[in-house]
Amino acid sequence: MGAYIFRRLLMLLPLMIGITLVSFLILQSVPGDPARIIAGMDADEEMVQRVRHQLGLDRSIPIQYLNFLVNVVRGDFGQSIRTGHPVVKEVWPRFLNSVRLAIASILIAFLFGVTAGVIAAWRHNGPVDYGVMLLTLLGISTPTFWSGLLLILIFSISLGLFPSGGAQTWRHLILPAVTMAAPSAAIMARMTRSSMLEVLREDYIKTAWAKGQTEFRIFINHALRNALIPTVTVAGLQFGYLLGGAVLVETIFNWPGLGWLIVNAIFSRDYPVVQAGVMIFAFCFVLVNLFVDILYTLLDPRVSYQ
Amino acid sequence: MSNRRNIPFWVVLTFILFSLIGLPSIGMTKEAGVMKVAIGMNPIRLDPPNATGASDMIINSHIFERLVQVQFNEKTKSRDYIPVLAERWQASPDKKVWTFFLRKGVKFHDGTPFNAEAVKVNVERLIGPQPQMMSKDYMMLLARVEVVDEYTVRFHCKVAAAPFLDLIEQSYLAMISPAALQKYGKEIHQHPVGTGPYKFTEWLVGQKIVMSANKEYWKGPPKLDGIEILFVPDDMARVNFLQTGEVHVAYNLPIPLIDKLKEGDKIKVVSYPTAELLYLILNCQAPPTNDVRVRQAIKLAIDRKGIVKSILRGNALIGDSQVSEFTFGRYSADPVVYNPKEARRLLSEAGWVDSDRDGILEKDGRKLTLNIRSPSGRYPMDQTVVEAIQTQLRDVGFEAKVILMEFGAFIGAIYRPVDKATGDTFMVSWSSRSDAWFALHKTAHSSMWMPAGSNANYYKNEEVDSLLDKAFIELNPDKRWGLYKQVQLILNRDTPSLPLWFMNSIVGFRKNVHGVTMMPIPVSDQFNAKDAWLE
Amino acid sequence: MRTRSFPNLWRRLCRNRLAVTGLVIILLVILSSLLAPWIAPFDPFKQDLSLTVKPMDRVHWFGTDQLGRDILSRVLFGSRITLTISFISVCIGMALGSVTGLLAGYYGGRIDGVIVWMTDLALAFPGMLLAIAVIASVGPGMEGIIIAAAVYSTPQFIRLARGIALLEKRKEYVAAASCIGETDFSILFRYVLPNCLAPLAVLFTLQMANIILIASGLSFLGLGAQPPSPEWGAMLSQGRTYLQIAPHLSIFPGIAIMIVVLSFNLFGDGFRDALDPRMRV
Repeated sequence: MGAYIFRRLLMLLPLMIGITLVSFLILQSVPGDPARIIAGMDADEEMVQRVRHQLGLDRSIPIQYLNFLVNVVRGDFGQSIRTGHPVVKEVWPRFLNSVRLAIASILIAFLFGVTAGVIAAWRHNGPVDYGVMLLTLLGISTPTFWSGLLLILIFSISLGLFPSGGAQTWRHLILPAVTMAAPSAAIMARMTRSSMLEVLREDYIKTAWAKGQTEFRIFINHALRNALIPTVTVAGLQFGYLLGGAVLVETIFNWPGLGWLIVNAIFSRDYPVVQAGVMIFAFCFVLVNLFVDILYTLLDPRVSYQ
Repeated sequence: MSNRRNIPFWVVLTFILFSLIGLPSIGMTKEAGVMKVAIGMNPIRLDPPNATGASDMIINSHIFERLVQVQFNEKTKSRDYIPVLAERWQASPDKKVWTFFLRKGVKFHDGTPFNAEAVKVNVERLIGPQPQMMSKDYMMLLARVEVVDEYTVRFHCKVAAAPFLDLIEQSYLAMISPAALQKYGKEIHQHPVGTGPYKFTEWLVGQKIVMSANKEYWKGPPKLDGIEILFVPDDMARVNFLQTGEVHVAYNLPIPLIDKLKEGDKIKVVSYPTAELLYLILNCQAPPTNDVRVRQAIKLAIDRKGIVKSILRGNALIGDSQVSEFTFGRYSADPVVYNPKEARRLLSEAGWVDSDRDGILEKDGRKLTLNIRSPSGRYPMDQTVVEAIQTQLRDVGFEAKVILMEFGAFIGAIYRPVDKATGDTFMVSWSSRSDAWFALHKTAHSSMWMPAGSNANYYKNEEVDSLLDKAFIELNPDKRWGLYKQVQLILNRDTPSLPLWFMNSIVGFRKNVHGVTMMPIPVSDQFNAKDAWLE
Repeated sequence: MRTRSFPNLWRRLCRNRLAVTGLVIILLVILSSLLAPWIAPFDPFKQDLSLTVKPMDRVHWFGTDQLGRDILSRVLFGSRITLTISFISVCIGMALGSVTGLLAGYYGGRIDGVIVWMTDLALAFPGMLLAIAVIASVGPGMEGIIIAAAVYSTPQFIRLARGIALLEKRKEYVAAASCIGETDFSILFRYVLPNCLAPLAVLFTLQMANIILIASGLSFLGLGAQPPSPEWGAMLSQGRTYLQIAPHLSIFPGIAIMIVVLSFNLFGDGFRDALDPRMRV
């Protein structure tokens, strides 16, 4: 098992290197002179030269990339241009906040999505089924930056039930998590529904029927268990998207997450922060995918990991 | 039939609990007696000679003090010079030597004494071999500073300057502890040490600055235990924090919500006039704005009064001059007329015609293009305002494009020498000081062309230059006012920049906040919480 | 070698009510955006400072925005921007992606390896973040959004086309064709491509839905269309300040986005079901 994991990680290496390459290239592709951007507008030519040398920007690009790689491995992402403080200090707490939001969202999405999918499969082809399908379509079609505003309007402004911004208490977590959960819940509902429908056609289900098991037992114990496998993998993938795609929701709810930090950093030309943020998200996504893959092989006895 | 189980629920449960409880969030401390202020702009440098942003200056004014401070007197509508770290001062008959008698027994936050030597260190930092951002004026004015005895310091000036006290009172010459300068060197902007009622405690970058009370303050300890300045760039978030009571004060509230916030009895909203002028920089060296008629047409095409009334809901004073009404030397030269027809006539007189009937004027094959660069979210309603201006310019035939920029990039685009300038128009602000010389000299004198100074119009008028040079040493106030008046008349005719309006400061307070004052002059006292207290 | 016949496909499609609904809405949206200059009651750029932020009434059905402009007219004109940007981006994505994917799948080998690596790389970055990073390099504006959206959608097409190419190339008819001396190019175009068309079309429709969300999201963040452009995402963002006192500034552009995206999803879903009747019982 451990050897399998190790082998998978090794296969990911080219991808990881690619990620660092893309992040490195972000600074290079920026219009203007990176050294001047970092040194600041009031800096004179001498200071810009000093910064250039300090950051190694006067060396050739491959060497710069190697330096960059070495620093990344050491965990040194440089200083933020805007504040002068180490990038890691700024990025890490925001990353944790993003993770918190993503976890809350995926849990809500899983709960509602799976339930809806099961109900739809149970009442297959009836009005309930169509209703759920329509709801899921709405879920994936509604822009999160709009549904978030609607939720704020209804629950925060009109009803005063939940706060509309910030991240202090668990109450602050609810609205943004629900907003983000909606599209994921929709996707998981569809996944659950279709995989349950597939499972329900299997022979052993008919056997269970024949043996006289109750409908409930069949559904939950037999069908759902097997149908959950692809759903869990989808949930894992969704988690990766939720991490990085939360930018809009973070903006609306002033949730101090990493996505929002990255967007602000782009606006303020704080490229070291952009590089670090983008890399962290990509790494996370790749690792989550790996985790989901391994989970899948563990859960599904038909798939061997040889 | 699968024998394997799914992930047991208890694992999932612990995960939830861990994530919701275990991870820290950006918290806010709850401490009685600590006033929390939410501002929109991130402070960058807490080093007085390099602190030009309003948020920096406001924070600094609680930590540092100057020798002298100007104060706008609302009753007499004039400016008083208040002794702060200097008890009194006197000038030599030729006004070239000024002696300041310093207050005794004042200590810096690090315990070191405030004395003449400290003043000398601070002044020399400004006029010495390593210039700071705002050194230029002081280098022009001061020859040297002399320590007469422990509490007496003498300034020797190169010329007898009329606005001498105004220059000395500026926040750029606030007193920093020499020991701290020694200790922190280049990092001094992150470790401010002054003599003021609040000392700097902590700076959580991107989040907040914490100040605690200076119990040994020479005027007596302040009433609050501390002040926290929270950086909240999003308008709605600031409003929200004020409404929930998570902050006591929210700075720069969005104008459309003023009435809504006043409802209920928890919040008080104050809209206070300032000397901060929002204006359009018109590049006088690059086409099409290098033609004075085009600039005048721009002035006539924009409905300043209409915008102030309907978009800003009256929360601004019309900019009929570069100089605010709180400043000495102001003359209202501009009748502020909105006349698009006259604007079109001027443009056609300047040779711009609409040959292809597309609504845009052309001349010699070039379109009448104007790119308006503006920061976004920095000034009240800036995005809406710049869109309104764009449409009004289009109505008279300009091909007006709006380029919204983040403030750092925006400043980078302005601070360029004339040959590298973009030729675009910028919407930016500048605060008048206590004397008109600052506003006029900085924005209209040819020696102040960017990047050396703040004249981003690249305007050069020898008459204006000589009038301003004369005004600098004209010690008779009436004569000086006359010179300023002439300058403002010329500037109104030439319109190197277009004053829009003086923006109000719109601040929301929870009802239990008392003692905060807001003064248009000096700029650093736009928000003064030095004597504030919480109920 | 058509494995699916068009008349059958069309018939199945028509029977799927949801797909038909989706198609009808799409056509209505396209029609209204084409006719916008004639059916819009006001000039979407005409501001009236005396009528700012007015509620819905008989003159202004959707009310006015912060500069006194009619919201209904702006929403109508906004559809042109949204549809144009999305259509161009997805077309670019499909053109680039399917060609690359087909070649990679068919030829295999090292080219395939590199292309797979690049595709995985592009897909490793969360979609929105990828688009934002592209805009950071290219600069905001319409062109920026189109490029960012194209970069976002190309990898999906590559994956799909490559998958189909891999499947098809093992089939007998391909071996037969190359036996009789047909060039690779000709095989790809005459036999493999037609089998791709249907799934590509489905992906096209679904990508339109995604891209519209991404593009309006980018505009919402201020990275897209510059003022005074009546782009829906930008309108939503500007309306945020007024949420407490005049929510209609943000609500209507949001409804518009939702309707358009929903219609593409409806049609795409139905299209996919019609292609592959196995899923619908």
